[in-house]
Amino acid sequence: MNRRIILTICLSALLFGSGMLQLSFAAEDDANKFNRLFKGANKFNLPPWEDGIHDPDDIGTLSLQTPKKAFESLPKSRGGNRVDWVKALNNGDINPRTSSYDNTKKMTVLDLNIIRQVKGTMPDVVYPHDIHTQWLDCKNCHPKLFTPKKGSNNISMASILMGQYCGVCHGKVAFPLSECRLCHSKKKTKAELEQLKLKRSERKKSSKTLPDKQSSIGMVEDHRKVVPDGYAETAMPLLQVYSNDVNIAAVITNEGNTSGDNAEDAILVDDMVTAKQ
Amino acid sequence: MLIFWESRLRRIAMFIAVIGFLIVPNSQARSEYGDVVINNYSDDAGMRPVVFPHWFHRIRFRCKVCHSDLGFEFKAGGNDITMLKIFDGEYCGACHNDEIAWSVENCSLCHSGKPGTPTQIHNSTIDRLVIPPGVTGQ
Ligand code: HEC
Ligand code: HEC
Ligand code: HEC
Ligand code: HEC
Ligand code: HEC
Ligand code: HEC
Repeated sequence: MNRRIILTICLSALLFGSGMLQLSFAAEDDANKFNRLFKGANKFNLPPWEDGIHDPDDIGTLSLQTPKKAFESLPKSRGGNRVDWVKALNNGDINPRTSSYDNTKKMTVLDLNIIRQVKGTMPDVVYPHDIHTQWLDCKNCHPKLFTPKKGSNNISMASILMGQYCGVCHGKVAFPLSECRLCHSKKKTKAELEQLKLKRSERKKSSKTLPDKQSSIGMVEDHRKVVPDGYAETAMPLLQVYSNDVNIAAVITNEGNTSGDNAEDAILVDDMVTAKQ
Repeated sequence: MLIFWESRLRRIAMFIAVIGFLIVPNSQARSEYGDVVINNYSDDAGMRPVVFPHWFHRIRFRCKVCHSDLGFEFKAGGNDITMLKIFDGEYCGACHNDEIAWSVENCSLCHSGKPGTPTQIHNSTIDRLVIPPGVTGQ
């Protein structure tokens, strides 16, 4: 008799418990829950012992600096470390060394903006050499990541998202890809947008002779290649939009030294000057 | 008897469920942007993985110091760093040598990662994608 009561009590407790559990799991599995995929806003600048990759049981972890403390005096931004590293450097808030032992060597700064016309209505991409060459050497990018020749690199947003081209650094250490406008900073002119419309109507008219165009996000190959041979004469406006011409918008200044380690860079810069003349 | 077994099964199931619930990984990215965990050898050698903070070092050095002068490739885990090379003044050892920065005997400052954390640049845009590359929905 006693055993039976105890058993029943245990059983009901168990059932109740598992029922509650099922309830909470039901909430987890709710097909129509408000955020199906979104995992909540990103937490940022947490101290090392709370950041999920440092071991809080390691004595070293507790001696590390917290990002918040270091970033207090630096200009803020919206993404990544939430620090505007470009401003921090230009304002002199930080003074990172140009070699491991001191700060006497000058960076070879190249003042050359490269404008890449972007397919569709997104603003064009302005790639600033000056900002990059304050942090990086020419050989960090040339020729491994980018052939130093305008328009010779077939860059697309899809490949950047997969960690190629600009995505080697952006989205990892330099500001993240969520900050579209920092790269897509040159608004298309009215004329360009008109041309886009024109292109669309052209395509409608000649939809039989042209292969299908899809949204380019997700397509890594270049659209220009899809334009068939012999089509050029009849579709000039179209080809203009397709050609990714790079415009040189600024000139070179070489404020660095031209000897020693930087000799290679200097030759490249000289090439540029002759190429421009 | 049947009821007893049922409840026992349920109990086991519940136990598993509770454990499962507790160890569900917290997939929300929290690590500082740009932190690299290097764990090619550490776990196997019984050391905690190494955590390299980019934010801390870029306040003190331009990218080119490490990625051009010292030859670090732009790839987490892509440099085959070992303690011997560090003692010999390569990689981290080019600075953590008691001249530019504190020396290698401070094991726990570098080997501070949670055991089992994979080699990766954590909290990257690819980390944050709802559908990581190579994984399909459903
Ligand atoms: C170019 C020089 C340089 C290189 C290379 C370098 N470090 Fe450092 N590191 C420093 C300096 C300088 C400090 C600051 C030391 C101090 O606090 O006095 C530092 C500090 C640190 C800190 C402590 C940060 C804190 O919160 O105080 C860690 C951890 C660290 N380095 C890890 C590494 C690892 C791991 C590597 C190799 C993958 C490495 N470092 C390579 C120069 C370097
Ligand atoms: C962060 C990466 C990066 C760094 C660092 C960098 N460049 Fe470039 N460079 C680019 C990109 C991107 C292009 C555009 C390529 C294209 O349009 O396909 C380019 C284009 C060029 C071109 C071709 C311009 C033209 O009109 O054809 C030259 C020359 C060049 N860079 C020289 C240099 C020199 C010299 C340095 C060092 C002082 C340097 N670059 C540093 C990314 C970089
Ligand atoms: C080798 C690494 C690297 C590559 C490759 C690279 N960048 Fe950058 N970029 C940086 C760094 C470092 C900064 C400094 C700001 C920061 O860290 O957030 C920067 C800054 C910028 C800025 C300035 C943002 C501002 O606040 O004004 C723009 C625009 C930019 N990058 C565009 C590009 C584009 C477009 C490409 C590809 C054609 C590219 N970058 C490739 C490292 C890189
Ligand atoms: C690091 C710089 C950078 C950032 C950040 C960036 N883009 Fe791009 N984007 C580019 C470059 C470079 C191209 C290629 C332009 C070309 O064709 O030469 C491009 C191309 C595109 C295109 C045209 C299609 C294609 O694949 O060529 C679209 C649309 C686009 N980006 C949307 C976005 C959106 C939306 C965001 C924000 C989530 C964003 N981009 C953030 C650099 C960037
Ligand atoms: C400046 C940072 C730094 C310090 C200090 C440091 N290490 Fe390392 N250590 C590394 C890095 C980076 C690796 C490569 C990690 C990997 O790939 O798993 C490594 C790898 C190792 C490995 C595995 C690979 C090998 O060479 O056998 C062991 C074991 C190790 N460290 C032990 C130690 C010990 C013990 C100390 C203290 C005396 C120490 N480390 C101090 C950065 C450091
Ligand atoms: C003190 C040295 C140091 C400095 C300064 C430094 N890095 Fe790094 N970087 C590293 C180390 C160490 C790794 C990891 C290499 C490994 O795991 O073998 C790394 C990895 C990377 C990666 C590869 C991430 C991936 O995709 O796996 C990128 C991109 C990168 N750094 C960009 C930068 C940029 C941009 C800057 C300047 C703002 C910079 N780094 C400054 C040491 C440095």
